Amino acid sequence: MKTLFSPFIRSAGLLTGACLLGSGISLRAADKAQADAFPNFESYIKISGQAPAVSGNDAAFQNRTRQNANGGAGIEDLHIAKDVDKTTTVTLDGKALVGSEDYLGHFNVTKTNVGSIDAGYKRFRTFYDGVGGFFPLNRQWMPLANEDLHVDRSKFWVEAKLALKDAPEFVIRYTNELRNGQKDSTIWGTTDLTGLPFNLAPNPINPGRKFAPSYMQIGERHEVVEATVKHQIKKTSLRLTLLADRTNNSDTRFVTNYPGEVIPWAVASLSATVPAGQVAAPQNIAKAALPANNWNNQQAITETDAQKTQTNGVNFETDTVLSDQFTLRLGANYDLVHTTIGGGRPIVTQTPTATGVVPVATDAYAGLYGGTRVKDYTGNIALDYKPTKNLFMKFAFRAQSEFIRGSSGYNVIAASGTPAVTLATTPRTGFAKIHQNVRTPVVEVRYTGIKDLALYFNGSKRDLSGVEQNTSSYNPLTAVIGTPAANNVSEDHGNYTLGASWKTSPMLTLRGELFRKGHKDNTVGFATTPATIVGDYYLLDSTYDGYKLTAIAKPIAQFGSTTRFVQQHGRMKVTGFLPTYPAYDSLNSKNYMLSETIDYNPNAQCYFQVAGTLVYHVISTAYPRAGVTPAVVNAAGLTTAVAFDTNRIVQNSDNNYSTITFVSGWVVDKATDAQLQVNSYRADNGNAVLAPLSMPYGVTVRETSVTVGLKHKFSDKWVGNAKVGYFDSKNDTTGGNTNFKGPLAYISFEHAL
Amino acid sequence: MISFIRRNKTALIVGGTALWGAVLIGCVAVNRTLLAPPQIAGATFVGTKECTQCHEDQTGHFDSASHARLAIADPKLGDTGCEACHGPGSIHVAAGGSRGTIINPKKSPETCFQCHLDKRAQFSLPNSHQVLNGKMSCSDCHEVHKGNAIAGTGADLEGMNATCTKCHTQQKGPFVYEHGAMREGCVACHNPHGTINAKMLVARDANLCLRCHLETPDAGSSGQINANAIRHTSENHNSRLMQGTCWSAGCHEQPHGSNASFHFRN
Repeated sequence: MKTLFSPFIRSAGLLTGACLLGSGISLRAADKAQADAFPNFESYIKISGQAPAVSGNDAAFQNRTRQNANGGAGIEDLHIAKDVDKTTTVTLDGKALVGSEDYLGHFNVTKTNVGSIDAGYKRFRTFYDGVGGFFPLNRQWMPLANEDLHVDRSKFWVEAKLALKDAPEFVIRYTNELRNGQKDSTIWGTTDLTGLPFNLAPNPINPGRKFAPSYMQIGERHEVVEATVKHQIKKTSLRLTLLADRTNNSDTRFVTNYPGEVIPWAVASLSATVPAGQVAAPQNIAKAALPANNWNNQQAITETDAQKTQTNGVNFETDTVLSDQFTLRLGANYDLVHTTIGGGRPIVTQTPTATGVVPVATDAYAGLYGGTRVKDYTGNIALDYKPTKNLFMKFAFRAQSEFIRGSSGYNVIAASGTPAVTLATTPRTGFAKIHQNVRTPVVEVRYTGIKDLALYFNGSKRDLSGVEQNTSSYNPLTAVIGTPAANNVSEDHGNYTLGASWKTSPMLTLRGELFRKGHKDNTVGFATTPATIVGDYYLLDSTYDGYKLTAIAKPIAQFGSTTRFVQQHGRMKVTGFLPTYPAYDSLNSKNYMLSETIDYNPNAQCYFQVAGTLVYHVISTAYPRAGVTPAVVNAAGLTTAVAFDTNRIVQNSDNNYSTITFVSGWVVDKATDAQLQVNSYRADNGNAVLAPLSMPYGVTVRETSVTVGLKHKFSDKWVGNAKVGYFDSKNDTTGGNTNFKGPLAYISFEHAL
Repeated sequence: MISFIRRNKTALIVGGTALWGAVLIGCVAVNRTLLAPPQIAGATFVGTKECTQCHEDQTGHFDSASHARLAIADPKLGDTGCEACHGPGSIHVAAGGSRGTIINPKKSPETCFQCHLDKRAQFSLPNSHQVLNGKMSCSDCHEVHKGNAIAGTGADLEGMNATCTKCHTQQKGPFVYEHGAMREGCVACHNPHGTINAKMLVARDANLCLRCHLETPDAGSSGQINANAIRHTSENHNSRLMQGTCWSAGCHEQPHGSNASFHFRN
């Protein structure tokens, strides 16, 4: 290897030397006149097109690069600004990119000391690839029938502002946002096609894994009418806002469990009951002899969550400059929210019968009804105090009182009996009620009285106390009430930051910051019916603390660097179920992030910039420390479960990765610039060894992209830009099934109007 | 293979030097400065007072802003006022506030990345908000000119999750059965800048939930995992956790809150 690479090292050395030589004979940028600078157009139109030629998974390409795999073209940017008269300006902005489905139309007319009209519509598309999981043991991969998913977000707005001189300013604004389309979900369906053996007792290993892909149909609308009046009375500014907010959402998730599986009737008709003295039912013994696609029945789940909310609110804020030293801010807000809900979760199971497989429709729930009501009162006060030029202090307090109550009901439809199927409908209902008060005092201090040193401290402590009452859903026909609980709820949440910025010399500034976030959550039941139920019991105590270090250096005018290191440790202790249980360590997380940016301008006509980040992030919970689950022997002396390594059911969550970006630009001639960009992203967290006892989720990706571009000035009114890039993405998380690679071309022309 | 590399070594040296020379000759004859973004070629600092003349709304409350804590100019940005983020303003002032003569962080996050280097990396991940391609900007979620940079924290009037739920209305609720984790905030489970995991989750596996809902060793059962410590649960979850996450199909599918189940199940 040494032999192979040493010529390149010499070559690199020669080229570096040439670069440095070049830098020595050039002048610094700011010292030179910019006679050949590219023009800045006040009004312009930019037309562009892009064309990829990707091989591999098109949907993954779209999801990753956020561009249409079939290319696209149109108006990338349109801006027209015109002064109609001395006090009136009209601006028009537009965009219409077919392919990436990115549109904008924005109109504004502003008249000084009178007001403005602003209206617009914009829409953009987010691409999704609809992938599920990949099971490495047997390299199982289940693609969606249509992986090419996308969601369009659009927004229409119109705003009128009346801003007469020395008079209150009135603004009324209406926005209507829509979100429509399909996207993938992380709620994946179950499959037995894993290559693992049937879990015939005493085998405790479940062969099923949830990695069959699923998707969501999104249909959401959000409308807001906001009326604001602002006024300045002497040194006090006042702002009053009235709000009417409406949402109308209906999202549906489509999940398929056991896709392609069906139990043969000959096996399904066997008894599922374990005979006395045996550890397995006859049906399971028969299944164990069949291939995996005969162990369960395909099940299609369609879950719809519909929700309409109406929020009416009023908000009042003031800002008073009391003196050179004191500024007082006050605020109050009231929201009243009403929600109505709907939806259902129908399930269709392909059920074997003596005469063939028939679809049987049941419902986890159907005809969901009910709603919630929230009353929210919030107020705050803040005093800024600046006793000297170098000392700033802020004392603030926020108080909130929130009343939430909700109830819902639905029907459960269950199927029974084979081959004749009987459907039984059972009503369910439930409710919940919460009243909570939140108090948040805040202190901020900044001091700059020491030469070249700035010190600061921020501390806030959110203290919540309240009462919640709830019941799990119950059948109102057979029970007076479900499993009720009444709990005292309290939280103690602290955020603290202590930092300093130190200019050690004109060439180097150092910054450091210590931070701590503590969170305690106590839920303790105090009364229930019947009294034998003690209510909930849950105590959480978490702490995240760490530090950030930043060094910003510019030893010479041509060279600068910024280095940042962030370290964070997290710990949690949890106690649950009964007070007799002690607190256990439920979390130990470590996050180290090292980032670097280097800027090098050897001369006025070229630059190099390298930015890289290296992340080590691991989340560990109780499972990897669980030990071994021992064998279980029943009263008859039969082993009903064998011992196995529980540690490996949920392993540590590794989220390590690295990114590097290199950008370089050169002036080629008076009318042309060139740019080279290289991006790299690496993650290597996959661990297929986990598969026998777990679903391995670790991300393993290698991605590289290289782009070369030219920007050319054709005339004082025409500028062109052309880029050619190459992407290569290898994704082992999906077993290589979402790999893609190939070139991408882009061209644009910008014309002054 | 080695001879191929040697031939290319010579080509690289000769070609590279020639290319560099050509660029150098071209460069010295051109009066145009090229700087790594986000810098403004040829501009000099004019001071915040100059900005205040037209942008009083933005400058008037900067004392209360989180970013005011920096207070000391670093050698790269060269300023602690407006021009630290917007670049030197002399050309902008001379052009009467003309478009394209000042750095607008709303159009490009490069200004923010100068200090928040780690955020550049996070936004470049596959699961991130669309900031790098300009569909969103840092200022959509962060207020840099006054108050807390992270909106909804401290003593801000608006709620902690309002920044997220103004777009993600379906997750806002209110739900009949609220998830207590939402009181700690969306960021308890998601990193809005981006993660390597789908949906910007801080963990893709069951650890996400087990941080707060652990299954502890049950006293007297040889230290093995026992689900009794999971709230309201007396079932051992080993067999289910083998299959996937807590929120996988058929389980606790509604982690943001549920209208049907106290346990966020279906």
